[in-house]
Amino acid sequence: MSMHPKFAKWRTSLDKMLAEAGQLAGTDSDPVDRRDLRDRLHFFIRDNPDVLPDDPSTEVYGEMDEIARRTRDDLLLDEIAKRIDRIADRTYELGELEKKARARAALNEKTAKSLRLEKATKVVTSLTESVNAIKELKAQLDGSPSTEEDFTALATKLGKALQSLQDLRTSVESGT
Amino acid sequence: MARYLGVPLLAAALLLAGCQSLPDTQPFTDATISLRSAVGTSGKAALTELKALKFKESDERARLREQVKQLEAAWKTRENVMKAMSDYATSLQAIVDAGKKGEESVKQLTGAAQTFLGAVGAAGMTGPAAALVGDAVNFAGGFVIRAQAAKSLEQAMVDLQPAITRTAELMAADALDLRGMLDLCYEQQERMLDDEDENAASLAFWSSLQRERNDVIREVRTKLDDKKLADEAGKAALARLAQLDELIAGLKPWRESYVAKVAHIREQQRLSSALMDEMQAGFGVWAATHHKLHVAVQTKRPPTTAELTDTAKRIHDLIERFRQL
Repeated sequence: MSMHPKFAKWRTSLDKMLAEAGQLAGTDSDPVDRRDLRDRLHFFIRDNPDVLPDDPSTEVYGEMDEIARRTRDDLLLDEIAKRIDRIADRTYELGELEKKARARAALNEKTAKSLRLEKATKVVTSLTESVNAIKELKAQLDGSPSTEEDFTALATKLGKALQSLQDLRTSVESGT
Repeated sequence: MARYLGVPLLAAALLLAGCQSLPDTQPFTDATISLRSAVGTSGKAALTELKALKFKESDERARLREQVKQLEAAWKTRENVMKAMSDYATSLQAIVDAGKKGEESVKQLTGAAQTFLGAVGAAGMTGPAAALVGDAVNFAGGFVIRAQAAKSLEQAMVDLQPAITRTAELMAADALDLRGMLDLCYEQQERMLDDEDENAASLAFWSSLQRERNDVIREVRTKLDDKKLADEAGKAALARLAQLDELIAGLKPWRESYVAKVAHIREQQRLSSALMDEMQAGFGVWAATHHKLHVAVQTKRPPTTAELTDTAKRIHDLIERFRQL
C-alpha cells in the first residue's frame, strides 16, 4: 500500500504533540500550556485528511485520529483528577469543622431556650395545672359519685392530675 | 423567679445605664443560607456535567466513574458543613431574639406565677402599686436577659470564629477547583459536539472552505491592486470566490445550529464561572462579617453588613439564572 502524500507531515505533527504530552504528564505545568496542547490535538483531528473508503492509504489518518483523541481525553481526565483530588484532600478537615459548628449550634439553642425562661414558665404552669386538677378531684370526692358517668369523670380527673404531676417531675429532672 | 421579684428598682436603673444592644444577625443568617444554596447548586451542576462526559475507551469511562464517586462523597461533606453553619447562624438569631424579647419572657413568667398564686389561694399584691412593681420587674428582668444574651452571643462567636474563618478558606479553595473542573467539562462538551459525525464532517469542510476563501480573496486583492482583475486568472479567481460563497451559504443552516449549541455551552460556562467566583469571594465576606458582628457585640456598636447583603443577593440571582438554563 502506498503512503498517502501528506502522511509524513501529519505524522510529524502528531509525534511532536505526543512528545509534549509525555513531558507534561505528572508535572505541575501551566494549565494554559496543557489546554493549548488539547486544543492542538483537537484541531489535528478536525483538519487532517478524511478516511476515504476507496483509498486505503487514508486509513492511517483514522488511526492517527484515535491516538490524538485518546491523548487529548487522557490529558483532560488528568486535569479533572487533579482538581477532584484537591477537593477530596480538604474533606476530612471540613468534617471536623462541621462537628464544631453543630456542637456550638446545639449549645446556642439551649442558651436561647434558657433565656426565654421556658423551663421556669413550664414548671410554674405545670404546677398550676396540678393544683387545679387536684382541686377538681377534691371537689369530686366531696360530692360522692353516684353514677357510672361520675366514676368516669373522676378517673379522668385523677389521670389528668397524675399526668400533670408526672410532667412536672420530668421537667425538673431532665432540665427541659 | 424570686431573685427577679427581689431586684430593687435602683439596680434596674443601673442596668439601664449600661444597656446592651444586640446586633442584627439576620444578614449573616441570610448570607449563610445563600451560600449553602450556592454550595448545593454548584455541587449538583459539577456532578451533572461530569456524568454527561462521554469517552470512547472503557478504561476512560471507568476512570470517570471513579471521579464522579469521589466528588459525590466529598461534596456531601460540604453540604453537611453548610447545614451545620446554617443551624449555627439560626441559633445565633435565636439568642438575639430571646434577648430582645426578654421583657416579654419575664412578663410570661410573672404572669404564670400570678396564676399559680391565684390557684393556691395565696394573697398577692393588688392595685396600682402591684402594676408598677410588675412593670419594673418585667423591664429590669428584660435587661438582665438582654445582657445575658449579649454575653452568650459574644462567647458563641469567639468560640466559633476560628472554625468560620477556616471553613471560608477551604470552601473558597473548593470554589476555585470546582470552577476549573467545570471549565474542563464545558471544554469537553464542545469537543464532543465537534466529534459528532455530522459536525466533524461539516466543521472540516467549513474550515477548508474558509481557508481557501481567504487564499482566493488575497489573490483577488492582488489582481485588483495590479489592475489585472479582468484577465483570465482574475476572472477565474472571481468565479472560484463565487463558488466558495455558494458552498458556504449551503452550510448556513448547519452552521447556525452548531453556533447556537456552542453559544449555549459557553453561556452555561459563563454563568457557572460567575457563580463560583461569587461563592469564592462570598465566603471571605461571610467570615469577615461574622468577625464584625462579634466586635459589634463587644463594642456595643452596630456592624455594617451591607457588603454581605449585596453578596448574598448576587449569589441568589446567579443561582436562579443558572437553574433556568
